[in-house]
Amino acid sequence: MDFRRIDATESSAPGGSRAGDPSSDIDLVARIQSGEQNAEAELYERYGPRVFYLALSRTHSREDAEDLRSETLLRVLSAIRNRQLREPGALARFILRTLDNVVLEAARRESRARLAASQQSDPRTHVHEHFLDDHVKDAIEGTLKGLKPRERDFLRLYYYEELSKEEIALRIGIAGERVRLLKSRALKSFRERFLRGWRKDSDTSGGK
Amino acid sequence: MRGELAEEERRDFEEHLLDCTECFEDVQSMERFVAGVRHSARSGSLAARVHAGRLRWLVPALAACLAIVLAAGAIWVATLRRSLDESVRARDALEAQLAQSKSRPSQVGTEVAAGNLPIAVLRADRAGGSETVLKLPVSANTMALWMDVEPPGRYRTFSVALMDAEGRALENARGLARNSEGAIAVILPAKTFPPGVYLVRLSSEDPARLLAQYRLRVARE
Repeated sequence: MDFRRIDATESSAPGGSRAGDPSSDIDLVARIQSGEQNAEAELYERYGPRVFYLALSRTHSREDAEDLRSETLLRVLSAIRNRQLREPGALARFILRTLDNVVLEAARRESRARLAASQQSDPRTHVHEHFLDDHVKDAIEGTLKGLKPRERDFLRLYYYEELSKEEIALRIGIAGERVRLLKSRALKSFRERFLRGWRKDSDTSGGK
Repeated sequence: MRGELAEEERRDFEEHLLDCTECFEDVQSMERFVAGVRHSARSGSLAARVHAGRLRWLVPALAACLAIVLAAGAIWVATLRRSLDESVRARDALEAQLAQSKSRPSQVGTEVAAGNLPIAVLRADRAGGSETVLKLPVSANTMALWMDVEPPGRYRTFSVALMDAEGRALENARGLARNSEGAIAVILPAKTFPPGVYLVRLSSEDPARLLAQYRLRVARE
């Protein structure tokens, strides 16, 4: 079996592979069971980035997340080939359950010392590091410039210091509907800038 | 992403992410955004500001109020000062004029108007019918009444009451003491006394006793 290893950056590229239609999942399972080679690659393309993202939020390093992804999809493929998947239409649920089992086993295998150390670190840090690249930095810089000082304060307090909205409202007096609009506006601005930069880069490099 | 979902909600959400491309892209977009914000915060380009909380408006508001109060106070003090200076000048003028008038024969109905302050020297209406006429310039803001009192006796303070022809009370000055000439002099606002006849009563305060009554006719020049 030949797995095409998808680079981690591709997993975060906008407009990635599509999945989720139960009928297409049923079709994909059937094709894998019939021995179609492309179908196995398609499983990896369709679910690889998402499994990687979920694994990243459960583990402590990018390398571990890649290993967990590979192990998870290997087990899913094996289950499909051996016709152990009872509900092909619920493929997503099966993949998620398999990932959880793989994570659990990996956690048990780790040494006490490494487990203690890894439990002290915040897994979310690795998620953020994975998504941080030059396009993101440029886009966020442009977005922040377009915000008022109090709005920038909100973003820092909410996403970096992780205070609740109530605490933030007490500190800087921005609350309620204003918060929702601010988040929506900032995120929209960021998305537009990020996509603009990413597309420009893709066009320059001739596309990947 | 903030760990706020319950376990079951989290699983449902993650299962949905595996199924829904649009939502997965939204989540990734959000993750990039949060990563960018955290990076900016760490690198200092999204530095924390000192907040005074919801009451941060209070200090500038209090400062503004204080400034207004101080300004209003300064204006009020200046106004009082001006008023005091005017009163002192009027008193000095009054005393100077009356000292001058002492050297002239006094008559019933004497009218004295000299300098800037119209002054009426009142004579007691013992005979009935006699009145003092005070001619006020149109521009006059104040006027003065001068009443000679018997030589120093048992009365230390006095009051002066003014009434119109119908007996309605118009002014009442209390706690008056003799001036350097031994007389009672009061300065009154001219606009309270349009042309007409007025009754002036001079009383002692301790004991309360009517000492004299005068008729004053105010006319305009």
